[in-house]
Amino acid sequence: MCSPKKTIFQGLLLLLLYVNLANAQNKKTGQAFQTKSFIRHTLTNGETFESLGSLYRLPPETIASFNNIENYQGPVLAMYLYIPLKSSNFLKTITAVQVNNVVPVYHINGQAEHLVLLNKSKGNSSNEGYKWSNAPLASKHLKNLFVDGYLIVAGNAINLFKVTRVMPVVKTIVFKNTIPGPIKIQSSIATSLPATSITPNKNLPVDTAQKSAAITSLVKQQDSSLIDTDSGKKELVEVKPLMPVKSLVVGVNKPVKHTGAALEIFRYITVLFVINLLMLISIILYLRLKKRAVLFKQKSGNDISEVVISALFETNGEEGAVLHKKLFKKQKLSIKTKQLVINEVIKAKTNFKGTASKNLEQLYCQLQLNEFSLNKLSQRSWSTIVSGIQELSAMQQLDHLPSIKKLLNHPNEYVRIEAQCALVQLAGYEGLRFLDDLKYPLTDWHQIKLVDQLSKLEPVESIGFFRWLYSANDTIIILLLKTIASAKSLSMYQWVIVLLKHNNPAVIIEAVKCLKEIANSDTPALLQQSFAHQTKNCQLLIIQVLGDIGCDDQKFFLLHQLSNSDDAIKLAAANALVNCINDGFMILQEYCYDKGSPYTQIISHVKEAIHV
Amino acid sequence: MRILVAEDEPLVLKAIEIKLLREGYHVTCCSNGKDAWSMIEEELPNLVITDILMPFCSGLELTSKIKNGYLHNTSVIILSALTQENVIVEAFKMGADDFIAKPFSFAELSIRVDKLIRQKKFEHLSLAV
Repeated sequence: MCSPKKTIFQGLLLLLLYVNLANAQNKKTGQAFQTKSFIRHTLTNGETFESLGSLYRLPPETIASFNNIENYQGPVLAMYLYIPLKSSNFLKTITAVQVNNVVPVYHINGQAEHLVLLNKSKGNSSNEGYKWSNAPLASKHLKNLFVDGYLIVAGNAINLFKVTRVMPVVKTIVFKNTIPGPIKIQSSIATSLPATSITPNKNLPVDTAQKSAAITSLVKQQDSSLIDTDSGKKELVEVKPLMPVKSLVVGVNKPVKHTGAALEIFRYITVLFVINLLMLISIILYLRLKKRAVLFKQKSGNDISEVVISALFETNGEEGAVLHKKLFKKQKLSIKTKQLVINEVIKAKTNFKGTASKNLEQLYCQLQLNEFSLNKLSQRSWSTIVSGIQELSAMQQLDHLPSIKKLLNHPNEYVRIEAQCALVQLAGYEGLRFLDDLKYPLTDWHQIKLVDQLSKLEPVESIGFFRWLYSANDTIIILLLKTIASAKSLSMYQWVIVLLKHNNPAVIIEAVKCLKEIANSDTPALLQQSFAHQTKNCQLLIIQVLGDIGCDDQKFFLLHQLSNSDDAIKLAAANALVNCINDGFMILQEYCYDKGSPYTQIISHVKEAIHV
Repeated sequence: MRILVAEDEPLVLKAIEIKLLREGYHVTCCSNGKDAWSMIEEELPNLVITDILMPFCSGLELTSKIKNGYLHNTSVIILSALTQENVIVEAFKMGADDFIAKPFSFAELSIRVDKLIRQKKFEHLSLAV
């Protein structure tokens, strides 16, 4: 088995491995993010992949696959589509010749995005990070909008787009290489933007030559200075939209959908890893605690055993008390030690009786462990209360019986059961008086425990069992019948036979079982009489009991049952006949002779049973 | 008189050992059936007191080994919490001389041990005469 240190080391190694994997994955995702820019196109009536392809100078299948759509030949059923920005339809810089066929694409700076991030996220592949020099921004618009590049659209289609006025930059700002290192990219930028759609402007007149000329002149003005990566200088472009902001063309960098699956798997693995790690830590902690407990037990065990053994052979209680105080003088009894002593004393008490047992009870009181157990009864945890009850009852603490009685109708089932059993253990049959106030049915386990407790006691008939035999709670009647059977209380016979007419078949079955244990010469005849009114299971039991307690008087009844329509009853009657009547097998063979099925099989079964 | 006690519960084992030592017997202890058998062969005790439920070899197996071999004259007392009728019958069938049910008292143990040892002594004397 691995040592805990080795396990921790292995766990840390695994953690490091996962962290490296996570970093690698992040880098990979970041690269994909930077290279896959796109714009969002809000669809209008009648648009197809074909029309979009010709508009944005892209093959229709490219647009379809970018949006994870397989069929690009049919109609488009969507609110909007992502249009990839590629070299065929997007330029970072343009020349004067291209100016008539381009639409400027702006980036709206997100709330948490500052210029350093923006610079990186725009794909300016400088190796160094840049820091904005904290210079005052030229205007409100400058804060939010930046020309990212130019969308090349097909021919006159440029007229379909709403356009904005592009102003030359007011101020030139130099970036300084101050912050190297990785840059985080916020995928939430796109969703936080007020407008992220490109909307073909159907309202514009087809002939907008005048407007085109204006754009051309503006772009010409900024063309030379807009994006100049070689000089290391950048100029900002102040944008003052003529149209409302929502109609601006906006370029956004957002992770494309097909990278999501890998990310999801990675997240899933990470969550699994974290869960495993937590489990590993829990196991290690549990093992350490367990080890500490074992070490503590070993350390204190010898002292405790010495005290318990000395208590077993004590002849004078007071001398013993002095000895115990001496032994425990060195250490003040902690809760753990107290519990260990209690466990050891109870274990010893299950093995010894007589003087030794009494001595152990004395030791328990001398060390004030009874107070410790009593204290448990007022705790919140049901398991602690149960433990306290068990300790007090095992050590025969009759003085604390009132405290246990208070728990007889505790809301927790286990506490109730334990309190009731303790009451019987401490007070004997008198303890059964709790049945008068019982509000819950007795479970099978509870009945077994109580019958087990009662079987160890001398039966007391003065407490008036009979009144519980007519209880409205059938489980109490069943418990009483089991107890009567176990204790063989013959005096209860007259009360038990009345129960053969009870409404509940379970009670009748238990009564028949009980009558078997306390039977007299009248019982078989009584059972015969009640046979006709019982359920099949009960009838089978009655025949079986007749087989055990019956005599020759039952011969005709059992022979009559051999002609019963139910084969199970026939077989039971055959077995009973063989068991309780002299020459029963001969009689059975005579009866079954030449009768064919099922009597042939019944004879075989009975023969087999006799051999067994 | 040599007595071997086989019991897997350390506290009970120690208590029986102390009790029998106080009675003046020479006592050997072991905590499982396997060790008990090897010690019986080595020490040849006059009496074996054994539990039924023990590791490696049960008290009933141990009794059977003792009674069916060259040590059949060794007395065996079974000391167990298994007090069902069939278990007790089985113990006597295996050749046990006595059965003490747990919980037991030291007085009871002492008397039964004493009785068995005196009985064996008497048998030896009868044979010698």
